[in-house]
Amino acid sequence: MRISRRTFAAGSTALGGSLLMPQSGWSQAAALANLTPGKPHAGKEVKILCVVATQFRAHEARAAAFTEATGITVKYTYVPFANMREALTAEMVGGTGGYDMVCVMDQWVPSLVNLMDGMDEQIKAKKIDLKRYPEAFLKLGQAGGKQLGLPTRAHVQLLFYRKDLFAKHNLQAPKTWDDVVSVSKVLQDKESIAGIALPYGKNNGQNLMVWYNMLWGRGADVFDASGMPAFASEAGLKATQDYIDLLRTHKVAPAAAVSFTEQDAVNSMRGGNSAMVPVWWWVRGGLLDPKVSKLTEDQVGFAPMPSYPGGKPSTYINCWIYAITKGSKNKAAAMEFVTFVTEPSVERDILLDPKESDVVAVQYPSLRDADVNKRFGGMHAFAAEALQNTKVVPYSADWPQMMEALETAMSEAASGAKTVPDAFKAAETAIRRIVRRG
Amino acid sequence: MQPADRYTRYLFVVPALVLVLGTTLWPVLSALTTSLRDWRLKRSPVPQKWVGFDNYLLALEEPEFWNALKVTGTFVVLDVLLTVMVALGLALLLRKAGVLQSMVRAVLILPFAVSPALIGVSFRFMLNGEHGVLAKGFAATFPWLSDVVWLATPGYAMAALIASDLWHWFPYLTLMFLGGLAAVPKETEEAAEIDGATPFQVIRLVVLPQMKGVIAVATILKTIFALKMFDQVATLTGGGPGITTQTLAHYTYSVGFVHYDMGLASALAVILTAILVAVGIVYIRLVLPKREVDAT
Repeated sequence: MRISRRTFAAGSTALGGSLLMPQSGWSQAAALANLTPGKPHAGKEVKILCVVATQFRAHEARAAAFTEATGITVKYTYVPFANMREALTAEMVGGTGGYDMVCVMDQWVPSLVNLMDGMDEQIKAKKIDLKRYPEAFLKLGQAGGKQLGLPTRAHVQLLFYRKDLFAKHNLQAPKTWDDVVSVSKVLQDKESIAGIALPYGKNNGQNLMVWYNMLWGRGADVFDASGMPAFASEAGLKATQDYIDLLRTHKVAPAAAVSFTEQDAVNSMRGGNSAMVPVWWWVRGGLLDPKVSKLTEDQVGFAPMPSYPGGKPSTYINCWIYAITKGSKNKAAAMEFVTFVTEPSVERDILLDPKESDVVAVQYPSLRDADVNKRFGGMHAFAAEALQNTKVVPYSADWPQMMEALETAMSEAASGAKTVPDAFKAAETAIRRIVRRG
Repeated sequence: MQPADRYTRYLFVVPALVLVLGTTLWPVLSALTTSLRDWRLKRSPVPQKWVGFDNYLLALEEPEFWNALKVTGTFVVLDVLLTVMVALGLALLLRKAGVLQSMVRAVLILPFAVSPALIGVSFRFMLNGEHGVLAKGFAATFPWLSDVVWLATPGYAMAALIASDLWHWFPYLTLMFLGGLAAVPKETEEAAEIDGATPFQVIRLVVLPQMKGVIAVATILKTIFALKMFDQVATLTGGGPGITTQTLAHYTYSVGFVHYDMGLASALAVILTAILVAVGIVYIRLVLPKREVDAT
């Protein structure tokens, strides 16, 4: 994530400007403008298989206007994240067209390519301007040279920190990983609180999500240009050692973090046990939710992810797409809904809805919107800038298996069962075997 | 009986037969045929060419398979041994009539009614080093355990897995053993006591020999379920740290639904089924009298 002074200035300007701007309501007219006139698909029902997320509930809540304009009804079915991939797999294998639309996470896109229909022609026909999306998000919805869906829910990483404790001890939000260690030590000494909550346990690759940034920061990468593993290079192992050292050598992460999932890390901060947590931006709502968190808005600050001295900050990103299934018998009606629900004004309306607390935005108009930035403290302006420079992991159909080898290696290194070189050289061998088998 | 009646009675069996065959035999046969085909979901949503025993050979080449087999074996031996011992001990304590015993017997079934996945999640919370009641409790009671991160060390993670399954299963086995103890004639114990046997000797030399059949059946039954251990691995340890608690059932799931290799996953499932069938045959021989087994 690259946050320059100019970005801060832009964010501040947006923030300041927005104070003078009245908050505008939802432009339903804009959202409905690209729909086919004459209700040609009236009476059809579009069935959507979705992961549980407030954003999709918000989409569902706005479907009434779409139904009124088109005569198409929309039915959402929600599946918890832990079961989502199995649900999508069952839909792909069944091939019955039980769902017209599906929400698919980026890492799964290449392996679920037989589930989704290409969307390029419909995007062109509907004159959907893809420039409104960050390139990185679009890439994560592509496979086999086709755009399989449009980004709908995406996340960037931020470093959330205890603003109150940092102020109390005259500390600045850390810019580098060395800063993370030094501020953590101060806070651990003076406040009896762990410095930074990090996930090292196995759970869908969550123990890799911060590590990617360190890998990129050290000039290494997950794969080389030929698609072979590159993470076990000298720079890669050094970056990995840095990540493990935060736990085992510097001891700035809680001892229990060795088995933490992402949720455990977040719980650690909101329970008052850790001073920082690097995590997805959507977690902000949970950190401030009085039902589950001890923290208030005055206590939680956010900053770009730390980097190495002189290096550019980065963010690993996560993106869900809306795609139309191959087996759908209502493809045209489904595309009508995709057109409606991905319209920038719908996203903006959700972001500004006082009843909603989701920070998620996938389109530049919302990311750069003054009112949106006013509501979320400039978070989206940071994200917009970072997204122009961010890297993505080149996912392949074998990625879930490769990721499993990597998260196992990380778990082994964190628990001390293996050294970093031993664990990651073994992961490299395993991944080469996966690539060879094809 | 009229000839027509002779055939009619078979008709009544047909729905049950179809149901049983459809839900047991068909999936097994389907897994068996899939295990002989190349079916990687990333390439095709339907099975592809026949590959003979390639998937089985591939399974045998995978270090993860041998690790899963070793983990499963370790888990089964320790889990079954501990569960049977705890359940038997508790049954012996609860066999006497009394208000307290009756109350304990009544609430004993509750852990068995809890979903194994939920047990895994609960144990995960309770063993959390920052706020887990078990982790904090152990640390307060046994100070030398205060630095232990339960799910991060292979031995402790396995212990946690076994403890969660023990908690789930010992009540059910206790009730089984209580049933068995009720069938032990009181006269035999009284005769031993008159002959001067100590209470421990009565249990060891009189009661346990008469419980052999029930203990064997309970052990085999528990072994079958332990071999299939999946839920707590998925929700408590995730197979970690590393792959030190990854059982064969969890590895099979991972190959099928993470790696998307249905052919290999089916081969692994068939191997697991073969192990279960072997244990099942022993179970049937113990449960049914010898003549009935021979007749089948």
